[in-house]
Amino acid sequence: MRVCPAYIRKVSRQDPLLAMLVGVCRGESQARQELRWMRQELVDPARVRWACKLRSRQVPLQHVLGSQPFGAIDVLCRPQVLIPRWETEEWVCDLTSRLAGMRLQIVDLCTGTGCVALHLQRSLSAARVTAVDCSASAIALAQCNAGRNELQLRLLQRDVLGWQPDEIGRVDLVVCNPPYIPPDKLVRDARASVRFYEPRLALVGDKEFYENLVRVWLSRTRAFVYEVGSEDQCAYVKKHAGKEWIVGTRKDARGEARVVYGYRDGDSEFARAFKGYDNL
Amino acid sequence: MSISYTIRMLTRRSLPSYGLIARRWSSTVPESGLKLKELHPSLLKRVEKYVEELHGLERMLSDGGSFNDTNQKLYAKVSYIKDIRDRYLEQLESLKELQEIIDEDPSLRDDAQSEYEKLVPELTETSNELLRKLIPPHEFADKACILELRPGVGGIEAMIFAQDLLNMYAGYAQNKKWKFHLISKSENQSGSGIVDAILSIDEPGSYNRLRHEAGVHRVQRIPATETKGRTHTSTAAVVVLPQMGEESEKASDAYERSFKPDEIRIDVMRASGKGGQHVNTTDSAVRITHFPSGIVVSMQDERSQHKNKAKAFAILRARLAEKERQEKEEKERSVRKDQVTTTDRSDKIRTYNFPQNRITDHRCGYNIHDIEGIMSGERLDHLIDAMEEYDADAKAKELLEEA
Repeated sequence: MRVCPAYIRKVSRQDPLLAMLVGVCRGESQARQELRWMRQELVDPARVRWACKLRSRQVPLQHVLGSQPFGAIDVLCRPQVLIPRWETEEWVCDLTSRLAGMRLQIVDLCTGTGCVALHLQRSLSAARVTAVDCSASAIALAQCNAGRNELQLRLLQRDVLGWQPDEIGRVDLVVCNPPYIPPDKLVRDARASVRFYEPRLALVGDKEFYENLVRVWLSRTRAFVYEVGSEDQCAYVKKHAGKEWIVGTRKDARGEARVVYGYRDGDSEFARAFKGYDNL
Repeated sequence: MSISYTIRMLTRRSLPSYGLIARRWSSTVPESGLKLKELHPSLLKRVEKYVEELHGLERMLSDGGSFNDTNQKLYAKVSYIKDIRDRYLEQLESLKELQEIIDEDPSLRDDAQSEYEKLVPELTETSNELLRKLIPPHEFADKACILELRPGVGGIEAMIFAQDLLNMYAGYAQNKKWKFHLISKSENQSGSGIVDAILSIDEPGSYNRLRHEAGVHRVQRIPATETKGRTHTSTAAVVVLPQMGEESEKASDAYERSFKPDEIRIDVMRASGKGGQHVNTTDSAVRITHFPSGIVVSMQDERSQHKNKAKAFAILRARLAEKERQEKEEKERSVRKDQVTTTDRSDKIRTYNFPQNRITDHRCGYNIHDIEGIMSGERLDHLIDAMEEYDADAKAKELLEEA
């Protein structure tokens, strides 16, 4: 969507900073909102102007401001690590309210900023969360975020795809937000800001992690929750999970398939927790 | 020693009768416009119930029990009621005696008459006070409140006025040293005035104080935008809601689960496209629709979706509670089938006239000539006091008619 120059001129007469944001925000209301947040958090007019300049060059707001709220916690964001998305926040918040009170061993794969793991650890005091990522900068940032939110997290730097996770023992739940944009779709579907400023490592992937789920994790866990980008990733997991697994899809608030989850048939604890999570 | 007591003493002695004069005056003296107004027996019965409660509490105390917080409050209340009742009965008694003197003892009639006239207003005052104490407290009297402000007719001037009102309430809270915060505010595009704002005042009991502010406020002034010096009339609407719970995430999660899934819908207002990892804009706006009541709350001020949702739920909860209360009140009124004048939400309640430096409350007819003091929130108490008194009187009247 392009914004026409006459419109930008019109906005510019009101507020030149706003005009810088209108293009990247695709509309005035969002631009106003972002400008307000920048003014709130940066205060100094010179810094706000600089921030607007960065933003007009598609730098994500989360990098400009340095952080992003995620559920009850606040996570730092850096260019080498994926910014937490609201869709993830949505399903994680719903999940934690369902798991309340359960004593679980949880593994968070592809943790990135550590947002999912930290939110789970914060909300489920009885749980023990292990976060795994292959990127050193992600591990460092997750460590940083754990300190920032005063939480203890077990962090492992492992390449999930080539790892036999015997070292972590019993697992009750595997959560993961793997890279799920197919390579050929990246240019077409992803926004410019995402392509320019976020790591491909955290974005581009097709079914590798779902294959890995079926091959490695299903035999070691009682339940799993994986974020997905499209229906066929869900369908893949459903098809390969095997008879003893009950697998379902959860849609996000926009109505897109966003999560594939599953638990072993007959596991009453998880069956209760996932009741009404979404259609099977 | 009071005069009435003196008179009582004097009447004991027999004095020579001036019956003749008395009879001649009797047609002019007793009805001087002052009539004895006694409380209805059923109301007095209600008072006696409080007194019994007091005795019960005292017994409990003398038995070695101790008061908890609610008992302590109750004790303070009923002992105050008892004090007023005692005063009321005493005054009533002496009035009756005076009446007797007036009727029977011509020699003291003049003194008794003047004393009588002095006592009657006192009695009225006491009985009114007693009545006011009998009015059941407001359902949300101890709650904190949320104020919603919206401009009405009058374009940008109305938006500026809504902003002025917002400043007024913020100033009022500040003056009282009450905690308050702005839940949301959307400004007019040109930067002056507001399209809507929600102010939360976190002091318990602030609802009771501010509930009379709900309604349409009218302003008459020469707007800053006016070039020819004409006075304009614009309005802004204020809604006062009770805070029913915390605005925290935990409270909102619990509250969300109290609804059936088909009762509410939570919408997100997002850009088109694939979503997920494909997009990284901060989309945190939340809209909650409550189907049974048709209430829609949207919130987009925070960067955190979670916080927006918590705020939206807090407001939904407040609106539902207020709505429920209004419906209940409506029902009670229709049961009584009386024609008590009620202030509809569409009625204007107050006029701020800048050229005359005057503020008028249309419900109680109270005038105050200090725009600046009111608009800064410093002297808003005067208006609220007047309105509270008016409301208490109206409620007392209802109570009397009921009895």
